[in-house]
Amino acid sequence: MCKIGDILLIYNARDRVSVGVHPFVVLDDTAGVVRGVYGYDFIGLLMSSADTDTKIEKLKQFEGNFPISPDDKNLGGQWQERNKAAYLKADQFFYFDKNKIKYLKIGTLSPEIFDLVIEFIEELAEKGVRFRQIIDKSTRID
Amino acid sequence: MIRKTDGYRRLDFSKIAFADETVTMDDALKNVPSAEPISKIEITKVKKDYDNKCVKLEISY
Repeated sequence: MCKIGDILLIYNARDRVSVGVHPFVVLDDTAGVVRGVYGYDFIGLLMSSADTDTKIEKLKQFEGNFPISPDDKNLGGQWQERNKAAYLKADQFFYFDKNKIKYLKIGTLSPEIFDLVIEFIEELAEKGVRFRQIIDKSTRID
Repeated sequence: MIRKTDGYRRLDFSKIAFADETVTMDDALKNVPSAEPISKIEITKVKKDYDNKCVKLEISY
């Protein structure tokens, strides 16, 4: 599980107390280590729902946000009924170790749109954008 | 060269420059609304029951 292009719901917790459920697209499923300190086995891009005009106006102001329409996602079963427009935060890479999180695969992003996301990320990089690395402290290698 | 897996194009990470500092998951998500409601159980009342050797809790959720 957690393959490139998957859409996951990740259940984030702090001290075993839930702090929320957030949807991510798997950007890359190759294991590695961030700065020699934090182990990971996939990288996710956070997806923010854009279901109101106010949210859309706010989200599209950010240079690193990439718009996703409901048709760009292939969601399974009950999730299709809740399919909404969204924005991917393409300039923030979240590093996860799937053995240390709770997650649920709810669908996939279409390969054509995923290609556009990669092109968008490369354009941001060419413009000189410095990407943020978001790490989970529990993945620290001692 | 473009690399693909199952039709998905892989990002060439050598093209990416990162910020100097990493950010924790807690900080990055603290202002991001949850996609599903978070159920919280709150203790509203505590009563000691000496006869039954227990503590009775009143909760709201």
